[in-house]
Amino acid sequence: MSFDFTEPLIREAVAAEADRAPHPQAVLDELHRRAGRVSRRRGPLFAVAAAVVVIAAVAGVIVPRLSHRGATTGPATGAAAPISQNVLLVGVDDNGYADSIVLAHLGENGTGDLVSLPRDSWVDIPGSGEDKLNAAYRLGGIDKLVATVGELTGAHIDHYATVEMAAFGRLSTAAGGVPVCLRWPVHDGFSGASFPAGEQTLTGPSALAFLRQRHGLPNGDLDRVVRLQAFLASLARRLTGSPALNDPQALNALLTVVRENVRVDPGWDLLAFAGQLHGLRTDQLRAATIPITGSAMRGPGRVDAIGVDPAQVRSFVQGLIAGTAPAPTTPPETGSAPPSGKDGCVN
Amino acid sequence: MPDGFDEFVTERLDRLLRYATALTCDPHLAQDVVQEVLLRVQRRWPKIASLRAPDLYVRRMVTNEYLSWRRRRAARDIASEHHTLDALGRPAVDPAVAYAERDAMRARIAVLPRKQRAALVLRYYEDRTDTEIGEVLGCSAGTVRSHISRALGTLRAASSHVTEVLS
Repeated sequence: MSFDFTEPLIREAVAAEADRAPHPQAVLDELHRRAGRVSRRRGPLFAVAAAVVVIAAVAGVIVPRLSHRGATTGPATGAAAPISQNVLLVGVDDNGYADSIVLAHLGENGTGDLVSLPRDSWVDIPGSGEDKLNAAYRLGGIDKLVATVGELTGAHIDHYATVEMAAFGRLSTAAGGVPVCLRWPVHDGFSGASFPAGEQTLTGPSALAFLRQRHGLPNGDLDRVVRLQAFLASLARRLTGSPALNDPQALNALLTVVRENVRVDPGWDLLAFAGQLHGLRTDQLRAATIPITGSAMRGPGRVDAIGVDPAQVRSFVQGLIAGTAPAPTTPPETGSAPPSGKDGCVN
Repeated sequence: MPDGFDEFVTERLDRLLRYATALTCDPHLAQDVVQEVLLRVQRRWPKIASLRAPDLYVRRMVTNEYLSWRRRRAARDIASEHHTLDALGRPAVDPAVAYAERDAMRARIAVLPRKQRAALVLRYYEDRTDTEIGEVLGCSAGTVRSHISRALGTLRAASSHVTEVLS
């Protein structure tokens, strides 16, 4: 008797409980809101991209322009003896937050290491106590971030460069558009990406949307990596090979973008740096992430942070700088990405 | 193009929230759990989409997230107790006896051990097979049956007790 009675009652009770479910829209809104944060969390990609833009801008645009004009004398930059130096590269998102933080170590022998420091790393910020690494930038600007990274890694930071995300959009406009090719038409409300299939030239906001889209792609983030590679390769071709750069107006537009979106420390001799970059062996470029101890709830606010052991970080970075430790390279995010097709088109 | 994450969310979110609410007996916690899980699903979507049963896999993630929700459990459990008392107290003022019985049952289900409740919700709300429930809970079909039979035992004992008191 009770068997027949209990089971239907359980069904009813569970269904009644389920009826109290929150409205899906609340979750959709939250997902949408946090999607931005998630994409910023995938920061190293953009930091490396930012580094490439700085390098491309400096090596591909500024130096040829200066040497062409012969306006600046001084040391023959191309022949400058490479010196070992550490450069902090910071990608800044649209809201003014340090989105991605990379310590670049350039060795005397043409080697380069890019060490990503997750922006949510829980660290000691000199003078401000413990917090997430990117809070340092918010609290005290680039100086505080430089001090924090210096303290954490034990590395002396010689120079810094910050690049605003918006630079990608504006660089593509200034470069007269960046040609890309899409295999499929896409339409994505999250990033605002809406493109037809086939070859097209992206400028401004459409370039940013192209780089930010992660939803609705067959391989999700992997496709985004491929897009970024294709985009940067195309942008680099534009910057270095385009006849548009012989046009003083276009050149000035580019330099303006670099001036306005890329900030470097006042004491940095970019000419000498560009000279060193020419000697950089790209096959010697290694990417790694500082060792982390897992995610954890930290601080009074129990914020979701990434745990790091300062002693481990220090010995890791020091090992890289001394060249004694082979970098336990993170599986290169780009390495596992499906290559763009023979036609040069991407998803 | 293969089904994207957005389509998955559009199609499944409502059902997933209802499942999570039945599982947690707490709409707020259900929302938190589903949100957290979907953010993770989003990051790993290509892999999850390629699985045999993405939907079941996501159920499993939601269930695990709830079963390991220790951090906020203390505070939530007090709320859940209030809810239980509330539900238990309601039959007196509720005009319909059927409602009273159902709410009393809801309250009893709410205090079952979590795994037993998860198994119950999967069987009586999701109509999953024992094997599927086992996949979600990470145990054998036999263990699933034992969870359910224990839960039924508790609920039957409680309802006969209530029936006695009422009569």
